Amino acid sequence: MRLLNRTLLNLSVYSVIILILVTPVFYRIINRIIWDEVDENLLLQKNEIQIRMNRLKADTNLLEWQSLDSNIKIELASTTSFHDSLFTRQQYNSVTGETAPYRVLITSVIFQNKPYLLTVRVSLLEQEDLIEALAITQSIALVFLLAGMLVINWRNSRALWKPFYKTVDSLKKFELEKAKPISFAPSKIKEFNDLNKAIAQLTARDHQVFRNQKEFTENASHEIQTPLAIVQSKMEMMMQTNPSHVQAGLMEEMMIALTRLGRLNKGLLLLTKIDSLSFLEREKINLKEFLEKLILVYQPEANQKTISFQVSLHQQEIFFNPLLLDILLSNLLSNAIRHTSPGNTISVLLSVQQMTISNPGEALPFESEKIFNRFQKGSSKTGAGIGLAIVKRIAETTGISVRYEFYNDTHFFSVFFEKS
Amino acid sequence: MKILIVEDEKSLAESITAYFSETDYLCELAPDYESASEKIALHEYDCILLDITLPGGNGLKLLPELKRHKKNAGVIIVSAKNSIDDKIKGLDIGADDYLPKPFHLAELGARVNALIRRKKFEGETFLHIGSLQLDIAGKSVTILNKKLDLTKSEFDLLLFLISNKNKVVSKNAIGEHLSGDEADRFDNFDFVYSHIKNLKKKMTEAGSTDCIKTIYGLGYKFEL
Repeated sequence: MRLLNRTLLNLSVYSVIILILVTPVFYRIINRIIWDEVDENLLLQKNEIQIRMNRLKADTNLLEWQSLDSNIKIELASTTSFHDSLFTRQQYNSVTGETAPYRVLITSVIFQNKPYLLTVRVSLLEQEDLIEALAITQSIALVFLLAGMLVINWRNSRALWKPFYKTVDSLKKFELEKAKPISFAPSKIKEFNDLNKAIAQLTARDHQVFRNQKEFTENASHEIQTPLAIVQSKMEMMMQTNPSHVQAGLMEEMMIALTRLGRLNKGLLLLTKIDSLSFLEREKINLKEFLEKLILVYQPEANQKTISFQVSLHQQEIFFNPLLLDILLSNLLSNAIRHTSPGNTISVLLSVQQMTISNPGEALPFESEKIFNRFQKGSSKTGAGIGLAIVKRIAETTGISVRYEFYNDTHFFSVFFEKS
Repeated sequence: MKILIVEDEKSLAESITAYFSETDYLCELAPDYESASEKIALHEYDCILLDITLPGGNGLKLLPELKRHKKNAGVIIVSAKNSIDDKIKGLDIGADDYLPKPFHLAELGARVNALIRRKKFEGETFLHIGSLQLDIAGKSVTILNKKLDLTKSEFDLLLFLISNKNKVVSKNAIGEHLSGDEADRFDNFDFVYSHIKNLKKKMTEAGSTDCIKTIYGLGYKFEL
């Protein structure tokens, strides 16, 4: 749930509750006010009738008065000790010919020293209409008020949260390896400014750490080259000293290890350089021809291991840096050769936008996601454990994707190129 | 012939000096920028091995100095910074070759030989050794006036061994030399064995003595 909706939900729930609660209460209050008004009116009317009656001279006049006003009834009563009573009742209206609600006051009046029973009534029809109208108007106003509040709040919040979403967006796009640290446009809201500042500091720090680490690897690799060169030269000098067979055997193994160390070091250096290499110019490359040439380069090594290639290439052009492409494909090919047992076949398939190199082999002894990690090695084969990490790095910096799959006892490495 | 080794790593410089000591080359050592600059101004060298990171300055700056003194020494940059930029820049301002560290002394030997051949014996591309005659430009070998039918790899292999004659050259050094820029692609250099076998066969068939010796566990040696 979005933050915006969450705040609005609370507000809407509250609004609906208030609307439901307030409407009957409001209706009752209006009702009460109007009824009080009606009752007061009836009592006033009683006083007025009393005053008017005093001006009359005979009983007959009373009857006449009653016939003119259907809402007044005056009858002779036996006693004056009579309490006023007020009630509502359905009564027949001779004008409309329908029964309607009336508020009725029954009280006693004195006419020519005789007690009379006075019944005054007021139709409640208009009052009820009024109450209804009032209640409806009020409710509509309330609905509009709440709806307006919600809409305004929603729009405000959206505008208010905009810098936040912008921040999230730029965080999503942030890449540690890229040359630029994150930067934000200043916001008018202090909290967002604080957030952006904290994030900018954090990413700048990450960036610095990453750069330091890269520099360290680069420097360390460079520094290792010189002692390596010394050891190698001394080994070669030692070779000239007529060593015994035992010594020669030891030296051979040392040379192999030394070569591996040299390669590993070169690989690490390359890994640190790919980022800057990825800015190199891209050009149109005929992938089919490129792969054919590359496979030719690896043919002797494959022959040596009695490994054959099964190649099926479609005409395909991509837009890529040739140096990086060479490193990428070479690493995948030499990886396949390294991990294929003699007598087996490596298949290289190139279809539209996808290249797959597959070789038979046993399942990995580790999770397949780790295959592109540095120094993740399945066997004690001769690889430095860095080739596939370089492949992944190239993929990341150039925006292509590389996928590893294993099924039917076969390893599949697929490269998906963008359209040229 | 004189070689100036401009290298601050004493140990490495000593190895290089020792490697060349039994040949016709005379090595001198300059461990920093200043002494290198001085030596360049005062003496004539056939070849200069130049490290880039030197105490006292960037080795590349010695290249314009060489030009100023109108010296005709061949320059091989030997650097731990295997950077394309340095390579291009170095070759641009007058270096003849670039060899990244770590390297095989045999490779260095071959490069120095090739460079001096280019610089000193301009036009003359024939190399006589024993009963062998190598046409370096034409990449062909004749033994006792009989032309050998060698592949390019076999010719390069022979020239590499001859350039390091009387030295044990490791299989790796040969493999890397033969595969050149592609060297890093290969896990092993077992293919060297079959090249050697073929070359030896062709040479002995043509009537040459077997001058390529297999040194157990280490490599091969060209010896007359």
